[in-house]
Amino acid sequence: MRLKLTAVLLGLTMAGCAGRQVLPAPNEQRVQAEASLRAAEGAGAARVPEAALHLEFARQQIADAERLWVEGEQEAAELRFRQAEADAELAHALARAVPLERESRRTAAQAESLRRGQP
Amino acid sequence: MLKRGWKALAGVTALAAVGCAHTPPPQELLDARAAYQEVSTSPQGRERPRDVAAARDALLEAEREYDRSQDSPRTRSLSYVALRKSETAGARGTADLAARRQAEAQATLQQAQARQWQRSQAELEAARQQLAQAERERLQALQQQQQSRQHAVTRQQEAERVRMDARRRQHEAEQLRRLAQQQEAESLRLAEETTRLQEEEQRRVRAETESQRLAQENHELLQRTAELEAEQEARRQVERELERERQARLDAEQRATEALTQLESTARDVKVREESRGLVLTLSGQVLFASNAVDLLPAAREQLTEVANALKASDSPMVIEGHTDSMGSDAMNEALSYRRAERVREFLISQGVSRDRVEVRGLGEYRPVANNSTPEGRANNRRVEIILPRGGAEATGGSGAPSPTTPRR
Repeated sequence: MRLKLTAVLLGLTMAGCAGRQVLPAPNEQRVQAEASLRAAEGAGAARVPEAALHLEFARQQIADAERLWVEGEQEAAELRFRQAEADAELAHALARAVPLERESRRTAAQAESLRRGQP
Repeated sequence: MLKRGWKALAGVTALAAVGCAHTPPPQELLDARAAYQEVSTSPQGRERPRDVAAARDALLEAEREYDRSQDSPRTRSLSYVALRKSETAGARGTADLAARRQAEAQATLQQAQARQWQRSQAELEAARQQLAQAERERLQALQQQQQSRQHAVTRQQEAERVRMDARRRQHEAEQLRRLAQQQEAESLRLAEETTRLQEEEQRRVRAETESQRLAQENHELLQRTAELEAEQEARRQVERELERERQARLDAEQRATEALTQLESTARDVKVREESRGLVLTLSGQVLFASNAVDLLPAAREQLTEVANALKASDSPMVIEGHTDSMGSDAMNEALSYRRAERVREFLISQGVSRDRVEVRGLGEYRPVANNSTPEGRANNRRVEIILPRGGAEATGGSGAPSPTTPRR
């Protein structure tokens, strides 16, 4: 899925200043956003405060997007879905990064103290 | 590649800026640019090149939209997405870095822990060995303690035995001492008894001695009396004997005198005279000896035999005196006269006259009886005299010999 997105973006890049976007189907956007949201939830983003923030952003923006969709603002909705997906991806990444960072710092400190403790 | 990407982006933006008219970019776009700037140059970004590339693409998309529609909702939305993608790249890079650091730190920690574990294991082992050693030592000490306790017990037993022994010996000594005391008391008693008995005995003995002594004294007195009587008797006897002797002697003398007087008649060359010094027999020297000789002439023997017989009639002592004339030296005459007198004595003795009776003197020329100037006189001087003293009267002589005592019968 990511590869596909990348390919699309690359296509956009080639297009230049006045290029017309080739957008995926709005349905697909929603599906991707929701999939990312699930994935982020599954990675325990709710438990990590920084991740939980973006998770909430994602949820809100999905809700907004669905409302916009219902209201007929398809383009806006699809942009909102994309934002939501981006937040969900970030939440997912943070859900892994923050704990790892914390743990690695703790372990480093441990190792350091252990190293200092041993002459 | 990212750097180039950024530069490319900048180039695109610049071109776009030249190409199209622009209102100031929305904050979202500025944020997105900043975010991409940061992540593309960060170590986290280097971890995730693909994510950074995706973030770049998103930013480019936002830039193009900005170029196209400036500060439109779409630009802002794409900028928001680009921002999030840069942040996502950063977060993923952070995660990867953290994971690797974690792994390294984990490894280091594990190493350190392993080392510590090894060290603590070693310490544990050392402690265990020390403990084992301490245990061994403790056991040893315990053993030694037991041994020493055993020894102490043995020694105690020994000491007890010794004490018992000593006590027993003391007891025995005490008994012996008491026994000795008893014996001493006994012996004292016996000694006292003995002393008493001795004293009694002594008293008895003394009494006996006393009585004996008295008896003895008595006896002695009796004896003494008897002795005195005996003595008296003896003395009387002696006196009687003496009397008898005297009488006998007188008789003997009488007989001798008679014999000798008769001798004169029988023997021609023997003159018998009674003088103050006693009865004197004068024998002519001429008859007896040759001149200057000491040996008797054979003829003299006859005469001397008769003299001897006459003398044998009594046992009164006599003195034989040799005399010479004055011819020759005094010393020679003295010697000659003595030797002649000796010869006469020898002869008389050989004839049975008792040796004890006879005394000899050599008077040399000191007692002449005649005149030495005439041959007759000299012949008369050459003589041997036998003197028989009367009744114990001393025979006169110059030699000072002790008076012959009357021999006790």
